[in-house]
Amino acid sequence: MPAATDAFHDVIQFVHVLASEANLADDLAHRLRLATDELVTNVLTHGYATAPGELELEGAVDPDRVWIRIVDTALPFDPTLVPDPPDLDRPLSERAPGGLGLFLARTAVDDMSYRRCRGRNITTITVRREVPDLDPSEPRQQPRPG
Amino acid sequence: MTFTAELCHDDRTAVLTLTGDLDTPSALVFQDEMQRAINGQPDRLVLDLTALRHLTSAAVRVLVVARQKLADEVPIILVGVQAGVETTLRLIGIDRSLVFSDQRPQ
Repeated sequence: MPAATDAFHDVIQFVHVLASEANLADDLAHRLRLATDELVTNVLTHGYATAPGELELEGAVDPDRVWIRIVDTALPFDPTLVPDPPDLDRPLSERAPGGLGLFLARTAVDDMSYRRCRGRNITTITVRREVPDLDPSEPRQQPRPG
Repeated sequence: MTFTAELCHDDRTAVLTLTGDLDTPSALVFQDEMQRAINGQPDRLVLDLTALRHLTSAAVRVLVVARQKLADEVPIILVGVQAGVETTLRLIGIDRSLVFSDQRPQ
């Protein structure tokens, strides 16, 4: 699909259909959508900030998990390596407003992986088909070292 | 689901009612309405989230900026937070900086 803000509704619909097919619990469906939302936003607002490009979504329902793959042709960018915001424990009045999107994407899902192949960024997010514990003090996915 | 934001004033309380999905495209609408609420210099700001289903980092950014623009003594009260919205707030840890309520304050 062409990567533009208008594509957002197509993205959301894609996630919704996938979550429905997987019969995901509401919390997991929300997490999958949240992570997809944030990653697509990052591609549109940063990866394609100066020139539009193509955005491709793939996904599937496996017996034990649901995964979505986001593919773009922007400059190389590994979202798993972006550090966590340093001020997560501070009150809102002392926080930087931005920089939360990729943190949210990483922590919302059970796994996020990245590879660069043939000039494309390929980011895959996965949720297990079970309801995990939610403990905000222990993010479920840490950035991977290079 | 289409996002809507409606600002009302009840005495010195600004009440911003949000419905639908608050994602990146709709965050600009939220930002504009939040700025209008702040411009009114309320004594407290109530966000009625009873019918809000989804919230992303773009909306959190608006919340952070609002907290920093409002005077310290002006509380931001979130009413009727639904599970999907609460997940986002808890993952980011800002649930500890806001006031939650099941119903609008009198």
